[in-house]
Amino acid sequence: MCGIAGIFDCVKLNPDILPSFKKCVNILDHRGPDGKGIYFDEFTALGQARLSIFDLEGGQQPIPNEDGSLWLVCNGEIFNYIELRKELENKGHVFSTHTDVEVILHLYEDYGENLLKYLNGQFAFAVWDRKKHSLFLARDHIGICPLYYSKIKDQFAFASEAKALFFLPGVTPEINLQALIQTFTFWAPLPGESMFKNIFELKPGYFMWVNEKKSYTRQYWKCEYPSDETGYITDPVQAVDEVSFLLEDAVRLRLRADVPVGAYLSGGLDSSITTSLVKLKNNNKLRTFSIGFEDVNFDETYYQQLVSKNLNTDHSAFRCSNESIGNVLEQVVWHTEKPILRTAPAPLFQLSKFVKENGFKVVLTGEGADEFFSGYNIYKETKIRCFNARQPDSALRPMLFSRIYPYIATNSRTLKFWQSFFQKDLLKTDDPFYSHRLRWGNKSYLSGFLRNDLLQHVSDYDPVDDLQDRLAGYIDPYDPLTRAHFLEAHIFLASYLLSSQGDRMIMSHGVEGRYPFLDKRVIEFANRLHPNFKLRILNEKWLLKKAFAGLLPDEVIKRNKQPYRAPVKASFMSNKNLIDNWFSEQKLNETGLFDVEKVNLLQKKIFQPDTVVSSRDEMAVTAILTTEMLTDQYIFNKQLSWLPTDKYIKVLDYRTEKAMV
Amino acid sequence: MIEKEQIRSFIFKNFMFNDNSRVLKDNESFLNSGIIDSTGVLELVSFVEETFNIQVNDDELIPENLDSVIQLVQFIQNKKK
Repeated sequence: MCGIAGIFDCVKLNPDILPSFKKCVNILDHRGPDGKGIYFDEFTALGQARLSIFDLEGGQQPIPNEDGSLWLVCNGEIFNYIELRKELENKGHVFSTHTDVEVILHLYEDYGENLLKYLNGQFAFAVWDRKKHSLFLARDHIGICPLYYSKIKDQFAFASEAKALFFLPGVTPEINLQALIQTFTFWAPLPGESMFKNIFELKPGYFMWVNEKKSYTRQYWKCEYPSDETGYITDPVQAVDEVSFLLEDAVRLRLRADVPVGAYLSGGLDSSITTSLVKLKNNNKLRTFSIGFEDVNFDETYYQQLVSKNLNTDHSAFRCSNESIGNVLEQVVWHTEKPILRTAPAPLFQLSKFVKENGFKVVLTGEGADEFFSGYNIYKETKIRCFNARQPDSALRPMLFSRIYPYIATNSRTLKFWQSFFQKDLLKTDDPFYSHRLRWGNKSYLSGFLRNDLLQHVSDYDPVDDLQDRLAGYIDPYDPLTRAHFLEAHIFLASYLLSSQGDRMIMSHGVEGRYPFLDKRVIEFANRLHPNFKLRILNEKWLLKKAFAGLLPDEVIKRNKQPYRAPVKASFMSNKNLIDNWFSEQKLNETGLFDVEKVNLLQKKIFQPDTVVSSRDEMAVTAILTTEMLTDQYIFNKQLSWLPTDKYIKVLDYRTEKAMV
Repeated sequence: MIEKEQIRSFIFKNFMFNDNSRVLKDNESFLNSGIIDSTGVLELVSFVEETFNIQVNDDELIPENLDSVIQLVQFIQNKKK
């Protein structure tokens, strides 16, 4: 993957903008350290920072089509490019590179915006159509690759990360308070938003047209589910065959590269499946990478070694200390460009560095299985609540919550309160947010630490109502469990998991993640599976376990899912200076977002020795800390030690018609 | 009603962080209003045990005893009898 940026001026692009635009491209160096290129003409500039994975010698971007009337910059990979290229060459198209992404240009020539249905990949790209005088942008179906844009008078600008846009005249970073409230509720801004005013995200599964008359976005792909029982796959043999074929093929396509491909191995089911499928296709010594934690409560080393040994991979583990999490947090936030509520991205940031140091720049990873094959506890919780709602007075049914949250059963003193928590609004199964509303309740808790004058600005704003308006009834016809799946994919997956824990962490050191479970065909298949094939009673990812049992150790198949998390209190305890500094009265007053008294009370509360800290207090500390860091870096332009030095950028000047190829 | 003021003051400081913009009603459910989460109940119980010198048994740890200021006051007074 790479970093891309561009600017379009419908009147005339002032060439004096070139030095600023070079800075836009240069700041994306971490995404593309292998070379940089800029194309510009009278109206448009396109730039790319390249991570070379295909056609290492000749794959520089921007790439023109045969007559130079189209120019492409793309971040990402088109995995089925070999098949597409063959068809396009048979139709007479002439390719100028051996890259995967060049197929986009030639498909655009033949199909225009309909080209997207032919792509199997992960991408965010822009095609500048000189004849039509239009810019065409698109983002992959599920949001693996990021794309942000802004409109400034007659200009339209885009980039892989918002930070690049801030180099352009007229783009000033300002915190979007509604997006902050959304982040405190949903863990990330809602699709289409960013943490900054006037910077927008092109949503996953959308394309966009921009020309001098107008700009508009349109959805080309979305998660769809059968409208009734007859639409589901109900034959278990067919289901096993199909998931085996699709995942094998998804892995096969994702091994295509002109550099070696490694794999992340967490010790859980999903990455064990993808790794075992790589081994099925290749007998060579596969390199695998994982995180081990100093804190044994988070550590999965045992399972990682078990799978690695079983699959005979060449395994390397990076050991994450509690202290290191606080040490890298500022850099993590610079990359996420949004506050985080948990520290889980910080070890992934360090893992990416570790992989890079080991000489790898592509890894396969297991994200997506939990969302589409019912891996998360929230699905079980929803199923149990629906079950309890049928007999609300039952004393036995609430005991089921202890099955999915063992900590409830282990602490008998809070048992009744937990059960009571999950019984809240139990009978409202028609609520489109039945599965998630309980979780989203933390919003008011976290927002409560903001200064009162800021809270007054957003006193009428309810992010959950906002989400309901945006969905416009789309999920209402589905049952609560299907709605829960949709919400996880729509909000959590793209906006948080694939962003703050995915793209932003892995690309922080120029490593590309590839996600077989997010192959469009795999998702479409999973969405047609009968719910019992995904969550059989309370057994998560039942079909995956059934289909791949033969490839993996029994212990991995049978183990309870351990959610990936990282220490919070212990990390900050090892870094007391970090909290003392960021939560000081002076610092809080400087950034001006949080109420000093409330934050100080929280600080005292959680750092009392031997205190059990609730997860929402841990979230509050992390959210406040990272919001402070974000504000300091982006709004107050703090000097950052890790910014890239100026790199050489090849510039193609096409300001006269003669210059057209 | 010294107990009531002590409880209110503890809740206000520890779970509402002295947020003057919010009003805590005596009969407001801590769980339903989101003031206290399930883990927070343990903090509340430690406070009650230490401050009022009583022992809260496992079978008494139910929302009916501890989920609002009024319920707590009632519970503490009953225990002291």
